Amino acid sequence: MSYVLLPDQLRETADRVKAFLQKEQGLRKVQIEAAIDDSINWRPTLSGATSDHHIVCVEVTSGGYTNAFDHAVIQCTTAGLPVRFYIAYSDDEMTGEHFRKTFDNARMRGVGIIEVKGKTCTIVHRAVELSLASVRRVDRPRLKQKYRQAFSDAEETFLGGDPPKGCLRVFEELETLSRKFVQKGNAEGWWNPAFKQKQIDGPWATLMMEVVKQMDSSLSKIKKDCPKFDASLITTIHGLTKQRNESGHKPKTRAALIKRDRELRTRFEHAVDVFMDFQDATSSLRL
Amino acid sequence: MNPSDPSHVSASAAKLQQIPLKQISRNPDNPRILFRQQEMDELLDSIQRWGVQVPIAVYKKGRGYVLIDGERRWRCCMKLNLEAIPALVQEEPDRLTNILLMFNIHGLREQWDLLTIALKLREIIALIEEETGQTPTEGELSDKAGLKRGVIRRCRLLLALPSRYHEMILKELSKPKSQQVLTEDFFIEMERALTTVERAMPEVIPNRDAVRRVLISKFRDKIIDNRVHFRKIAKIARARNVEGNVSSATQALERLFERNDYSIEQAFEDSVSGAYHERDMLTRINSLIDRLRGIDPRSLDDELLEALRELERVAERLTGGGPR
Repeated sequence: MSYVLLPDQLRETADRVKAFLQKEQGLRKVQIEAAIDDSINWRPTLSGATSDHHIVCVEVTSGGYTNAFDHAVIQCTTAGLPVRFYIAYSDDEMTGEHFRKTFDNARMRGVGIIEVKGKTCTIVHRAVELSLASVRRVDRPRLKQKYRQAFSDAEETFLGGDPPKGCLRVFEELETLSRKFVQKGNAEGWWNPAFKQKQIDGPWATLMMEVVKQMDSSLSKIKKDCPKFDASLITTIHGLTKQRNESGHKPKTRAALIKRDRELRTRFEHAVDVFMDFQDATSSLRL
Repeated sequence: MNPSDPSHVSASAAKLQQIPLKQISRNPDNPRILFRQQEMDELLDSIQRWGVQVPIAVYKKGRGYVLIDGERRWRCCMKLNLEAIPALVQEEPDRLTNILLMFNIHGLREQWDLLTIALKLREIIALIEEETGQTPTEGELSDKAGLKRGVIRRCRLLLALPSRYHEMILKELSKPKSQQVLTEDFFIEMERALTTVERAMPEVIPNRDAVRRVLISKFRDKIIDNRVHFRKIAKIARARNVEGNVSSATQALERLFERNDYSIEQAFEDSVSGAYHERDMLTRINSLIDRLRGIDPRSLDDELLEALRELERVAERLTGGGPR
């Protein structure tokens, strides 16, 4: 199939990007001006599915990031479609202010940028999977300085296309903090009996289960040192320990991938919220 | 009824329908061959917000439909992955009527790029010749295609250019309007000027295409910084008409048509500027004299009277009738 909608002067650029997608990005079949989903009001210049059910779309343009295109990107994000959208342009088509605006708008929405220079295509900015892009961003200023880098990495990993690993980074921080909390309790004599080091270093889920069991008798002591503490936080953290080890199977269909990404978005946001609440509640303990 | 008269395809008989986009194909005779991205982006935005407010026009062909009018709207709807588009379905016209219909629809709306009209006009002329055995006059073409005679003349100037210049213009037209340099208007101004020079001083242009190349190069290098300056080339060539120095005009044009940094304005200044200035002044003085002769002296107010006395003093000084 050949181009119908693409202006003639952009066809050479599009052909180069098409070859790039096939040779270097591993797309077996690249479609031209095909719909990616009935619900999305856009036919990208090029599109193709990856072996893990993601869709890579490229809009070849000399016009930059337009309103109509933005609308389509928002539709994909809202629908949670596992799409990575790129804008591709020839380097002699877009310069200066025009490029800066395109770049800024694209990056803000998680759209990537491919530059075509002669026969070479370069990914100037990598696209975010739009099914993940709508994840609520981490409120960094609310985090203590020492946690900010770890959460930035987690978010970057999540948006960079590995949401299970992004979630795992958050769980790891939560686990570390909750173990420190138990250790602190030993020193302060909250627990009866006190936790053995072996228990503290043991499975996180088991440890948190034990803390839940002791909460009725320990809460008043904890509250003395830590007035903002709420017992339900420990129950919530215990609930999250199950998700900590769920690496997840690779989705077998696109529908399963959409479902998984939706769940991971919620899981990531929830885990970050719980961490922040726990950090705030235990701030007086200087963990 | 003349079959090549587009009015015989009645728009009132057309039916308004929602037609699936995939059943529509573009019209190979559409003179519009350029779709500038910026304009398409604006239309995309509008259709996304407001939908298609004006139906396209199509005719039925086999199981599908062929566009008569509305290729940009159709393209935008395709891009927006819409299912259907409102369309007026007309009877299938013959090829000449098909092209003339498209010309007439657009003559009433925004205009296509002139070169794309010119290229299609050549086909219209050939089809009319085939149908009637005669070359259509400018008036006949104007009537049928719904184009003004001036537009047809401008098209003919463009058609007379060698085809490589057509390619050059098409490439230029594909850019956003603000970035276009060698436009159709540039070539039209240049061709008009060269035609005048060839008529008045044929010896100055031994090779028209070589002169074109020089002038294009000077325009690109901004030695010629305004396409309207080409009108001054024609003025230089008509030096004889204003009793200018023909020899210096010839030399100025010869120098202008060589690769150097000699500009049109400089050539004008060096050759006929004084003569045109003189003629201009003479025309104004004669016009003033005519008007003054028609004035009743009793109707003059003080201000005008004083201005006339000043004119008298200046004229006397210049003609030697008064103090110098």
